[in-house]
Formats: sequence, structure tokens, C-alpha cells
Amino acid sequence: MGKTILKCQNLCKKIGKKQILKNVSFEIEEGDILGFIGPNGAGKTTTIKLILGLQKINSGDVIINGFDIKKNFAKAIENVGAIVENPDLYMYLTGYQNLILMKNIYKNVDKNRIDEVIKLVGLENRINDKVSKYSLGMRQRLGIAQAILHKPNILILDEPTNGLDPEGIKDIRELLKKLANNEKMAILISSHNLAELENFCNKICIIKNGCIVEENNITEIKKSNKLISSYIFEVDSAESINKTLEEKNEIIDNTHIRIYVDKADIPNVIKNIFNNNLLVYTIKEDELSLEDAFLKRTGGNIID
Amino acid sequence: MIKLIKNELIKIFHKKTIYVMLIIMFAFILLNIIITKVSFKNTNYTLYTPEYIEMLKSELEDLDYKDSTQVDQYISLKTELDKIELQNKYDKNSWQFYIIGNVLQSYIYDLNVYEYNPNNRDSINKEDLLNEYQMILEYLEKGDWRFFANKQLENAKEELSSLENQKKLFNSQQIDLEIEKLKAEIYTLNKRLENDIPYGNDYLNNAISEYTNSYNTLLDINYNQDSFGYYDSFEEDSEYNKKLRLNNITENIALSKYIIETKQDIMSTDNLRNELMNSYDNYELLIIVLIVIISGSIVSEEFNKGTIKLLLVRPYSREKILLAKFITIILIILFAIISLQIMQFVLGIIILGTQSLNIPVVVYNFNINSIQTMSLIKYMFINTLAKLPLYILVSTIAFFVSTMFSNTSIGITIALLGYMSSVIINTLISIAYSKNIKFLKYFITMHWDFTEYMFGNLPTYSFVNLPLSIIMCILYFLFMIIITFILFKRKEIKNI
Repeated sequence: MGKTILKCQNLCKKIGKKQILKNVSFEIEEGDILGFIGPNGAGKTTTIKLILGLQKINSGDVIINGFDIKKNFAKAIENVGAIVENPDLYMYLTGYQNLILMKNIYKNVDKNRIDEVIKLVGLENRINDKVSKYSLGMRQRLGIAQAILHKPNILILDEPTNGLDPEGIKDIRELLKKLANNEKMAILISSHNLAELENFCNKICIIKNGCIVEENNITEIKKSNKLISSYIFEVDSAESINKTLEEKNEIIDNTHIRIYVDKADIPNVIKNIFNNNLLVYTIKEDELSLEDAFLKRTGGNIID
Repeated sequence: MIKLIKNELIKIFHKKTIYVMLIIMFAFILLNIIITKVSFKNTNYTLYTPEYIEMLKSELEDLDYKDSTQVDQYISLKTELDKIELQNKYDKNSWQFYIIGNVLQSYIYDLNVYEYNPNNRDSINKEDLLNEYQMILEYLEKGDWRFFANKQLENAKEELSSLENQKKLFNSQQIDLEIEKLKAEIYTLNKRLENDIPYGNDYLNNAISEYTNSYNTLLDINYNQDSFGYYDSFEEDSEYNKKLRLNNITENIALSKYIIETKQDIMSTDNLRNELMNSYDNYELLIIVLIVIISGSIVSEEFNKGTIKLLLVRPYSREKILLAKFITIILIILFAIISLQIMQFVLGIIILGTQSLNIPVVVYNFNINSIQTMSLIKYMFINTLAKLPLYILVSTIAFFVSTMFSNTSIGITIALLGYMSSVIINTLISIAYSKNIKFLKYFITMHWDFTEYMFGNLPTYSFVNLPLSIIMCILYFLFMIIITFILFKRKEIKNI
């Protein structure tokens, strides 16, 4: 267990009469990549804004690197890098000028660091163009560049893949992986798309209607849902097999059927099929995706 | 903190707005200076066009001096023509031109009366008249203007001694007044001779006539001969208006006296010195627009574009971020003023030349009740200081309103409207004041222009004064700044 970098405790937020967040709590430790998942309007961005001190906290605490954001804002925020909502940059400046502005704010950042960061996010060729000429993906990368310029130990990204094409999403994911490895940053990344983060995060936190419904390690979640394993059989007639089998099964289409059995029982199933003069072409373990796991856990579609 | 200010300046100087405004400013100054140069060069017109003279002549031909109803008209027309004929020999700005119009004309008239109206001939001694007429023409030819000045002086002295004799017999205010007026005339005539000021139409003669007029008016007021008839409309204010008028007259007398004695052309308007002295009268709107655009957008634009989030997640408190922005506004105000004056200076030197810059600025200081001379630079500095509160307050309005509504255009509009309609607002307030609605006198437009109080001047309206204006400006400023800081501190960054 590393040391705790970000700790949210019982965050509550009301806007008007509407309760936006109810007792939101989670923790990020050194080296964690936390996927903060929830449908649109669940309170992801609001949570991030509370963490960054952009909105007032009604009750609860945010502790970053041991400092309370409400009491000691400057100290708490010092080692945080963030992009909130869109990467809003100064469009009339070039990418480089944007980074110079951020450099000026911090004491320990010099021009070498700017060059280093530009290389890291891969903007060497376009850094002297005006930001207004950038594509969304490039803006997103420049946004990450300005967020990591001062070597924060936690990076908070609000839907960094929103609006990007699959290629762009892949690029950002690669970049973040690199950052987590090279710069040793903890990352909080929010998204409404669980599948996107599945292979990338080591922790998941799911928020729905302002409440945390799940917070866990990915492997644990998957394990906890794998009580009954299943296999997909490719056969000549799924319907006939369905009639003959005693085990719990589920027809996918004419030639595919999902059968819920333990590994040890597969030979028996095959024997059974064989005895009924039916044919099996392939057998494949049906891996449970993170999304499916959560569908089961939360009993509903988390992607609105 | 300095880093934040530096960043704000980087942002502003990478936007087009400021350059567009500077270019407009440059164009205005260039145009104004060129107009100054051209309009004063074009003064070589002749006073009487040939068409005018032809018209007079044909009119004269239509008249018959033998007809007793037309003879008066005939004589005055003929006199006018004779005068013009003589005057056309000389330059319109020459002293001869002036003497012909002011001294010789009466001789011409008398001669014409003698010639064409036999009924009035008895009162005129033709011999003497012709002699004097010839003598004047001679002196005109010789170019001896001192002869006329000496003669005028002699006459005045004679009149003075006769008045003083009269005074011994019976004392009357009227005689005292006349004596004082004559003394003033004698003073100007002595100065004319002493300082070698020929008659004519230049700034020295303007100063002499200004001095005479103002001094006479002052005497009239002191001897209760002057009526303030047209000030009666605002009964309560008339006392104050008398004071204002008196100040104005005192100032005129002192300034024209300064010109007569030092022969320095401190009133001329066609030079760089005047251009620099009146920077704010001519170009104030440009400065205001520039600083209002910047102070109205420096906070709200970042909110609207979302870039404020970049700033707020940095290790600085919100107060510091806002303070940096406000200090930037002050710097931009100074920048606007300095660039205006540099542009005026450079364009002025190129187009109008530098010769006027050595003439000191002369003002009448009502605090010490005397003339005060200072260098042009010092005057510009004082003038700028007196204008700064206005600029800072107008920017603060834009800053305050735009932050309050997170809306750039509302902030800019309200600040500009407030500035541009301040004259109208002040008039309305003064009317309300005279109708006993007195609290409106605390409205900011009444107080923010401190050039009203420069050198001890009385402000336009009786119900404001310097200490009140200082207090009001500070109060308005603090009020707006404190509210802005509280709003900014509490502002929630809304989700888009």
C-alpha cells in the first residue's frame, strides 16, 4: 500500500434544492489510476470541481497530500494537475505561449521542462501554431501538457476522451500510461465509458445519481462476479442442444450457445452432445467484461 | 504576484483589441495634428473681396446725396469705401490697417460730411481737419505707430487730469469708475510703448483688448454697475455664478497681463505645446474605450471561455489572482496615457515642430491668488494626476459590473454609458438639486473629474467641493472593489 494522495470524505453538494452529491468518499494512493465512472449528470464533474476548489463544498473534506483544500488551498493544490471539462486554453496564443504562461506561475519549472513535456505529449511539430488551429485531440494533449508541467503527483482529468475518435482515444490512453510509468503520477480519470478504461485502470469508482455505488480493485470486482463460469460452444444446431442439455444454457444464435458449467464438467457436456449425434466445432471461455460485471452488480445499465 | 501580473500582460498584449485601439488612437492624433497645421496656414484670406467692394460701389451709385433722406446713408457708405480703399494698401494684420479702421475713419467721415452735407458744415473746421488727416496719412506711410500710441496716451492723461479736477469739486462713484478705467488704459498704452507692441491683430493686441475688457468688467462689478440679468434663472445659484464669473475675469486679467508684460504667446493653439496641454480634452474617449474594453473583459472573458479554470487550480488564492488582474488594469491605464502622449509628441514634432515647447505653461492659481508658471512636463503631470481618478473609477465600474454578471458587454456598456452621459447626468442632478432633491449630489459623475479643481479653481456646481469629491471617489472605489472581491471569492465555476 502506497501513501494516500487524495482522500475525499463524505462530500456533499447541493445546488439550489437539488442534492448533487451525497456522501461521496474515495481514496487514491500513490501509483493508482482510478477510473471514475458514471453516466452523464451523475456528478463526476461536480466531484472533480469540489476536489479542485472550483466549487464550494457543503460538507465533507478533500485532503490532497495531507492538506485540506478548504483551509489550505494553495498548499493542497500545489501538486495537482488538472483538466476540467474541456481543455480550455487561450485560443489566441500558440501552444508554446500557453505553456509559458503556466511556467511563469511556478517557481521550479524552466524552459527545459516545457520542451520535455512537449516531447512527452508529442506536439513538437505544432507547438508554435495558434491553439485555435488545433484539433480536439491536440488540444487535449496540450491540456495534459499544461497539467503536468509542474510535475504534480496527482493528475485529475475530466473526460479526457470525450469527443475523440477511437484513434485519439488510444493515443490519450497510451500517453496516460506513459505518464503513470515515467512520471510516477497518480491519475484520477473520469469517463462515462467503462469499457474504455477497463484495461487501463487499477481501481474503479462508480458514481450514480450522486452516490458512489462501487469502489474497488478491478481484479476483485471481476473475481467476485465469476462465481459461475460459462463457455461459448460453436455447434451445428443450438436449438437441438438446448433441448438435450440439463445444464443451464442460453442460445446466442443458430450456431452459438452459452453453457454455464465448471471447467471440470466440459468433457461430460461434450460427451452428452456427442451422444445425441450433434457436432461441436469450437469451445471458448466466455470472459466476463468489467461492464457486464457491473451490470450484474448494479442491476441496470450504467451507461445512460 | 508579479508573475501573475506578467501573465495578464502577456495575455492582453497577444490580443488584437489593444493594437486596434492603438491604431485608431494614432489615426485620430495624426488627423487632429494635420487639421491644426492646415487650418492655421489658411489665414491668408483678404478681408474685403473685390465682389464686396463692387457691391458697395453700385449701391453708392444708386444713392443721391442731394436727397436729404439719403444723405446720411450716402455718407456712411462713402466713408466705408474710402476706408477700404486705404486699408487695402496695407496687410490686414498690419498696425496701419488697425489705425485706419479705428482712428482715421472718423476723419474720413467728417470730411465726407463736409463734402456732401452742407447743412452740417458749420461744425467742422475744414483746414484743421485736412491738416490732421494728411498728418495721419504721413505717419501711416512712415510706419510710425508710436505717434498714435503717444497721442492716445496724451488724450487719456488729459482726460484723467480733468476727471481728477472734477473729483475735487464733487465726489461720485461714477467719476471714480471712469478714473480707474482711464488708469487701466494708460497702463496698457505705457506697456505698448515700453514693450514695443504695434497696433494690429496679433496675440499681443488680443491680450491688450482682453485685458481692457476684463478689467473694465471687473471695475463695473466692483462699482455695482454690472447687471447679472441672465443669471437670474437659477435664483439660488446666482451668488455662486457671480463668484465663478469673477474668478473667470480675474484669471483673464492676470493671464493677459502676463502676456502683455512678458510678450510670450501662451494662448496660441496651433502648436505642439497646446496639443500636449489638451491631450485629455481631445482624446479622452479613446483612452476610456481602450481601458474599459480591457477592464471589462479581463475577468469575465476568462469565465466565458472557461480559461479561468486554468488559473484557479494554481497555488494562488483567488484574492491574489483578482488583485493581479486589477493591478494589470492600472498598468494598462498608465500604458494608454503614456502611449497617447508619446504618439502626440512624435507626430507633433514631425508635423508641428518643437519651437513651442520652450514656452512655459502659465496658469492662474486661485489658492495663492497669483499667476503660476511651470514647465510643460509638470503641467502634463498635474493634468494626468487630476484625470487618473476618473480613469480608475471608469475601469473599476467595467471591472465590477462585468465580474458581477460574468458578462463582458454589459460591463463595457455600462462603464462607457456612465462616462459619456456624465455631463447630462450632472445637469439633471443640478436641476434636481435646485428642486431640493439634494442627495443626488453624491452621485459619482459629480466627483470623478478632478481637473475641475486644478489650481484652486471653483467647480462647475456649487454643491461639490474638493474634500467631498475625494471622499466620494474613495468610497465608490472601495465599495466596487470590495464587492468584486467578495463576488469573485464566492463564485462557483458552473458546469457547462
